[in-house]
Amino acid sequence: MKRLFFLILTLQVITNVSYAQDTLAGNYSKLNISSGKHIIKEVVTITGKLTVEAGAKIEFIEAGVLVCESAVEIIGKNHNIEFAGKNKLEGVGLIIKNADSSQVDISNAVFKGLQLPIFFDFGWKRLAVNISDNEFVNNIGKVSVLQVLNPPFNFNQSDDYIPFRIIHNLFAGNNAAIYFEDLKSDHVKIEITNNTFANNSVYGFKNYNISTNLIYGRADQLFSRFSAKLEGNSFVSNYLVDNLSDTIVHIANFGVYGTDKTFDLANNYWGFSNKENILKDYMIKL
Amino acid sequence: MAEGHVDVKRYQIISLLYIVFICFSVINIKISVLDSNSYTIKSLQSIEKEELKKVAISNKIINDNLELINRSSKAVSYLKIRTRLTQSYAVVNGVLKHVDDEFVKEKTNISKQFNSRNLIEEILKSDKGVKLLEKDLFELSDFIKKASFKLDASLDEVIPLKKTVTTIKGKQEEWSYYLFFHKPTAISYMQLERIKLLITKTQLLYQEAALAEIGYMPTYFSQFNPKLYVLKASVKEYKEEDIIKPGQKVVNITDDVYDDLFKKILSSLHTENIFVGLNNTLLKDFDFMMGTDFDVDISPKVNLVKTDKNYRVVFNKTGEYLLRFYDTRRGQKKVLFEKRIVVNPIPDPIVHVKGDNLNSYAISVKDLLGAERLEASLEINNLNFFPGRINSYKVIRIHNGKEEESVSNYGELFQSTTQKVLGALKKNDLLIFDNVNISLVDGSTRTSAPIIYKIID
Repeated sequence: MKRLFFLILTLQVITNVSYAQDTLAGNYSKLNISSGKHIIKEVVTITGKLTVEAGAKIEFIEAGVLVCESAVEIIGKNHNIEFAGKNKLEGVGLIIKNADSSQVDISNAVFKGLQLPIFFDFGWKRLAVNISDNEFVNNIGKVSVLQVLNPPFNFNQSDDYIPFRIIHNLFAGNNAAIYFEDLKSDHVKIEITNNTFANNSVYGFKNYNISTNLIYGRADQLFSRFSAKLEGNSFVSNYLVDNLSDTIVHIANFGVYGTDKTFDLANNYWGFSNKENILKDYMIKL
Repeated sequence: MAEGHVDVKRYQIISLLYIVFICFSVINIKISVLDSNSYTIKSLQSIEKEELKKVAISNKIINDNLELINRSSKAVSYLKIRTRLTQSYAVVNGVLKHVDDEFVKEKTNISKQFNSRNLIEEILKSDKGVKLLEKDLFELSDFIKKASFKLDASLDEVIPLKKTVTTIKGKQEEWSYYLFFHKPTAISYMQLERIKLLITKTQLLYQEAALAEIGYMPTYFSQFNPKLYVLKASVKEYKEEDIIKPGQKVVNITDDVYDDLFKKILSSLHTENIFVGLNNTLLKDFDFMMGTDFDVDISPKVNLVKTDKNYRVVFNKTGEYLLRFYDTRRGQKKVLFEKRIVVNPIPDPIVHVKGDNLNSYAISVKDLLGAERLEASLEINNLNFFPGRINSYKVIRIHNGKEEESVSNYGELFQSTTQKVLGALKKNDLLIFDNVNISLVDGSTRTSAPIIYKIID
C-alpha cells in the first residue's frame, strides 16, 4: 500500500513538471525563455537581450505582447519555437523598438494565431535584422503580419544602414499584409527572397487599392541608396476580401506607390505564367 | 349684435407685421458699426501713401543699379514679380476709380452710400468691377507661384486668393461674394483699399529683396549722426569707422575690384529660406572648383557637397551659421567675405486626405472611399517632395454622438482596419483622423490638427 502511494505521488509530480508553464510579466533587463510552455498576458518589456531557446512555446493571451528594446535571438530547430495566440483570446506578438547596436535574429520559429506577429515600431534601429526559415500561419489580426516602420530620420548624415533580410519563410492563411513604410530607403536595405506567400487574405474596401495587397509600401526618390530586393518568391492565391460582405474581390499580391520611376519585381512567381494576369495582381502608382 | 365681436384675422395680421418689423430691426446692421470703417479706409489710404514713397525710392535705386541686378537670377525673378504686381495695382486702382466715378454720375458719394449695398453691388458687378479684379488677382497668384524665386510673403493667404473661401462658421462662399457682394459700401470699398495696400506692400518687399541681392538694405540715416541703422531681421548698428568719411575714396560696386569669382559667388549664393534637415542648395550653377579656386568654412561645421554645378548642404541644427568664403587661386587662402545665415526649423506640415471633394467639412462616403491615404505637405519654395513621413494616426467614427469605433493606423495608407471603419460610415456620422504623428527629416516629430468630416450621404 505504501509503495503504491509513493508511486502515485511520483507520477503526479512527473505529470506536474511536464505540464509546468511559466507566466511572464513585467519588465526584464534581459530575458532567456527556455524550452517549455510560457504564457504572456500583458505587456512584457525587455530592455536587454531577449533569447528564446529551441523548444520554447509562448502563448500570447489578449493584451499579451513582448516589447524588445535591444537584441533579439530566436533560433529554433525544425520550427520548434512557437509564438501562438490563444484561441478566441489572441494576443499581439513581438514589438521591436528603440535604437540599439544589437541584432535581431529570428529563425525556425512558428508565428500563429496572433494579432500582429512582428512590428518594428517607428524609430527602431539595429545593426541587422534576419528573419529566415520561419512560418507565419493563420494569424488572425487584420493590421499586419509583419510591419516595418522607418528607423529615425536624424541619422541622415550617416552612411550606416541596416541589412533587413526576410528569407525562406512561409506566409500562409494569414488575414493581413506585410507593410514596409519605405520599400526604398537610404538606411534600410531590404531583401525579401525565396519566400512563399500562399492563401492569405487582406481585408479592405471593395475597390482594390495599394494597401490591400499582401506586400505594400512606398518607393520615393527622396531616398536613393537601397531599393528593396524582391526575388525568388512565390505568390499563390492571395486575395483581397471585402470587409463588409466578406467576399473575395481581387487577387492581391503587391502594391507600391511613390515618386520613384521603377520598381523591379522580376524573378518571382505571381500565380500565373502570362503577363496580363500577372499585371492584375499588383498595383503600382509611381 | 356686432358689439363684443373680435376680428381674429385682423389681429393675426397685425401680430405678424409686428414680428416682421422686429426681425428687420434685428438683422439690420447698425450704422454706428459701419461708421468706424471710414477711419479704417482713411488709415489704409494713409499707410499706402507712405508705402508708395518707399516704392518710389527703391525703384530709383533699382534703375540706377539695373546692370548689376540683372546678373543675379534671383533679383531678376523678384523684379519680374514686382512688375506684375504693378499691373495688378493698376487694376485695383482702376476698380476704385470706377466706383468713385459711378458715385459722381449718380450724384452721390461714399459717405452717403456708406450703409447702402445696392448701388455698390451694381457697380462692382459691371465689367469694370470685381470680375476684372478677380481675373487679374488669380493670374497674379499663378504668376508668382510659377516664378523661379519668390518670397515667403504670400498674397494668397492674406487677401485671400481662393476660388472658394471657408467662413469662420465653415460655410463655403465664392471669392467675390465673400469679399464684395451683398455688403454695404463701407465693407466693399474697404476691401478694395485693403487689397490695393497689400499689393503695394508686396511690391515694396520684392523691390527690397531684389536690392538686398546686390547688398542694398533699407536703413535709417541721420545727417547729424554718422551712425547708420539697417533694417534687417534685427536692427544692426554700423559703427562710425564702418561708414565712409567725407573725402574718403570709394569705389563703385561695379568696378573691377570684385573679380569674376566674387561676382559669381554673389550671384549664385542662396541664403534665404534655409531649413534644417533639408538638402539646401547654397551655391547654384557655380562653375568654380572648391579646393582649387575657392574654399568655404561653415561654422558650426557642416559638409558642403558638390552635385553637378551646385553645392548643397544639410544643416543638422537650427540657428545662426557663419559662412566664410576664401579665394584659393593664388595658392594662399585669402578671405573674400563672411556672411551669417539663419537656419530655420521646418514649419509644421499640413495634413489632408488625398482625394477629390474632400476639402470641406461635409463630404460623401463615396468620395471618401475613393481615397486611400492621408497626405502631408509643406509650403516651402521649390520643395517638390514631403521631407518626412506620417507614421501613425487614429481613426474614430462617431455615430449618434457616441464613439462607435476607433482604430490605429500605421503609415499614411488606409490599412484594413481603417478601411473597415470607413466602410461602415452612415449619414450624419462624424469621422475624425486624430493624433496624426509625423516625423520629419530634421529628426523632429510633429502632431497635426485633427481632420474632421461629417458624412452627408
